[in-house]
Amino acid sequence: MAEVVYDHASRIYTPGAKPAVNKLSLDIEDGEFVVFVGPSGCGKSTALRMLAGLEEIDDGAIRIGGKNMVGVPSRDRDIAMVFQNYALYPNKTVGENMDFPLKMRGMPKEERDKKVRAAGEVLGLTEFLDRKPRALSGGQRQRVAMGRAIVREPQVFLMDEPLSNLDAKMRVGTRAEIAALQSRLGVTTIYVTHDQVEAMTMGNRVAVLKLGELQQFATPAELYDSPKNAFVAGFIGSPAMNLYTVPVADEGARLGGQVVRLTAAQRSAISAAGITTVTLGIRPEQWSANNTNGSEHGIAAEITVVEELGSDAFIYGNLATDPSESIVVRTSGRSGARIGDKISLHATSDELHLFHPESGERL
Amino acid sequence: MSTSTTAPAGPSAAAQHDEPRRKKGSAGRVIMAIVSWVVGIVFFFPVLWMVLTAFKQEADAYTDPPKLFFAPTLEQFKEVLSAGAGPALLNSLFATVMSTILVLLLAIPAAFAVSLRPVAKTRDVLFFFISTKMLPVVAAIVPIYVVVNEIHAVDNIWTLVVLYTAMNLPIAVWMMRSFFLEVPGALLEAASIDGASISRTMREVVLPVVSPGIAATALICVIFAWNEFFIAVNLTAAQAGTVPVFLVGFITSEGLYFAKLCAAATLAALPVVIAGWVAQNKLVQGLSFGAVK
Repeated sequence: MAEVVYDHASRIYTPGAKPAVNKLSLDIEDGEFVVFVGPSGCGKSTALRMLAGLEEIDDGAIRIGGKNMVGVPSRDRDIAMVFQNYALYPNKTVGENMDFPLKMRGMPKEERDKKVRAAGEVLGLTEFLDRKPRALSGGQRQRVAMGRAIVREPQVFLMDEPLSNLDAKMRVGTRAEIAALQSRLGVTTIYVTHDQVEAMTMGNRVAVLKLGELQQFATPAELYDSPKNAFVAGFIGSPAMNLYTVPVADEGARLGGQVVRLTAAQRSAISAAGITTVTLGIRPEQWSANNTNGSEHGIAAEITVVEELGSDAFIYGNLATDPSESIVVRTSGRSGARIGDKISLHATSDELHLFHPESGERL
Repeated sequence: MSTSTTAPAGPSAAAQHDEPRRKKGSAGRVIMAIVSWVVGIVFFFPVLWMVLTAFKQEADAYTDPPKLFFAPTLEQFKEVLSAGAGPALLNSLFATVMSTILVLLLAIPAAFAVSLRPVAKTRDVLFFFISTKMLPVVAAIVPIYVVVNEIHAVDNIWTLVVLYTAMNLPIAVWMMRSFFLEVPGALLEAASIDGASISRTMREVVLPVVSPGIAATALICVIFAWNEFFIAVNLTAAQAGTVPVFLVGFITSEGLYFAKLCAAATLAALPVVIAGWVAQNKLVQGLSFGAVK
C-alpha cells in the first residue's frame, strides 16, 4: 500500500499539439479510492495508463510510495490492473489466470495455491477455478479479472472502466462489491469511468477531467454542492444541472421574465467580477413546479417529457419566454404532470450556483 | 494436390454461410445448392479420378469411354514403391519438416516484432520480405545454381532445406503478422503488469493464443515445400531427389504409365492430406475467443 502522487505529469503524443494529459497534479492518499471521470477523450484512461507504465510520462513525474516511476517498467511498479475487456488469458483456466502474476514473481507453488483459493473464495469463483474464461459469463469474467488483481496484494489497484461490459443490473451490484472489497483490503485504488454515477457512489474523492486538464479533485459531496466551474456543474449530477447564461438584475439574475433572487454574497461577487451577464446553475431538485395552466406566477414553462421513475419523476420542458432554453425539474413520483402542461417554476434554494459567463469559473 | 483437402469443404461451407444471412426464396436456395455441388464436383473430380486410376491396370486406364467399374488392384502401388519411392518420400519429408521448423523458428519472432512492436521502418521491412517473392524462381535459378555448385552442395538435401526456408519465410512472416495483429493489446499489457518478461509473455500468453495461426502457417509451408518442383529438379540428382521429381520420372516416352503415375501421385498427395487433416482441428478454433469480451 502506498500513496500516489501525480506531479505535473504530462503525456504528449505529438510535440506541439495539445497534450493528452496536461500537467496533472494529484495527491492520492494511502488506501484511498479515487475515481477519474470525464467525457471520452478527456485523458482519464491515459492518466491511468501513465501510472500503469503503459504510456510514457513525457513531462513531470508520477510517484508511488515516494518512488518516481518515470522510466520504470510496468512489472516493477507493484501495481495490478483490471482492464475494461478483462484481458484474461484465454488458454489458461480461471485458477491459472489468477496464479499467473504470483508465478511471474517466483512465489512457491503451495503459497500460490493458497492465495488463489483464498481469492477464489472471496469472489465466489471456487467452483470455476478449473474452467477456461470462455466458459464463463461476463460477470464471472469480470470477477476473475478482479481476482487476478487482488491475489497479489499490490500497492495500487488500477481499474479501467471495469464495469462497462456488464448489464445495468449487474453493474450496480458489482459496483457495491468493488467498493466493499476495496475498503476491506485498504489498497489505494484508482478507478476510471465515464459514468458519473459510478464516480459519485464509489470514490472517496473524484478527479474530473476535461481535454487533458484536471477540473476539480474533491469528494463527491463537494463536487455536487460546490462545483468549481460550469463544466463540473454540468457533468456531475443526473439529470444534469440547468445552466443558463442570463442578464444580471438588481436583486439577482433575470430568467424567463422573472428575477431569480441571489444571496448578498453572490451579488457582491458579481459586482466584483464586473459582469453584466452571469451563468446561473440550478439543480433539478432546486426547482419547485406548480401546475398552473397559464397563471402568471413564477417562471413559465411547458412540459415536453415526463420521466416517471417511481420514487420520483423528472420533468423536462422549455421556458415559455425562450423555447430554446430547456429545463429539468425533479419532483416526487406520480406528480400527475403531463406533456403539454404549462407549469410555473420557483427556485427553492438560496444555494444556486453562479459561474463566470466566459471563464466558467465559480463565482 | 493441395486442392483435394480444401475444395470439397469450400462450396458447402459457402452454402451454409449464405443460408442464415439472406432470407431468399426456396428457388434461390436450390440454385445456390446446385451451383455449390457443381463447383465442388468440378474441383474434386480430377482428384477422384486420379485415385480411381491408381487402382486400375494400365490397360484399363486408357479405355475410351473410361471405365468406372473395374477390378481394383494394388499392382501400381507395388511397382511405384519398388521403383524407389521410399528415398524420394524420405527426402521430401526431411526437406519439408526441417524447412517448416526453421521457417516457424524465424518467422514467429520476426512477425511478433513487426506486428506488436513496430518501429518507423517496419513497413519497409515488410515490403522487403514480400519483394523477395516478386522475382520468378526461373530468373533466380541460374545464380542459385552457380552458388550451390560452387560450395559443392548440389544434390544435397540440406540445400533444399535452406532454399525452402528462404522461399517460405516471407509468406510465413506475413501470415503470422496478421495473426499477431489479432491478439488483443490488453493481453500483452496485462502480462507486463502481471510481471512477465517479453519471452515469458510470448511463451505463456501470445503463442497459445495464436496457435491456430501457427498451425495454418505451418500447413501452408508444408504444402509449398512438399509440392516444390522447380528448385528440386534443378538442384538434385540421384541422392536428394524429392517426390515431385520422382513423379515426373514416371512420364516416359514409351509404354503405358498413366495408372502408375496416378498411383505415385496419390501416394505423394497423401501426406499433405494427412497434414491438413491434423491441422484442421487447430484451424477451426476461434482466435483468442474468451480473452476479451
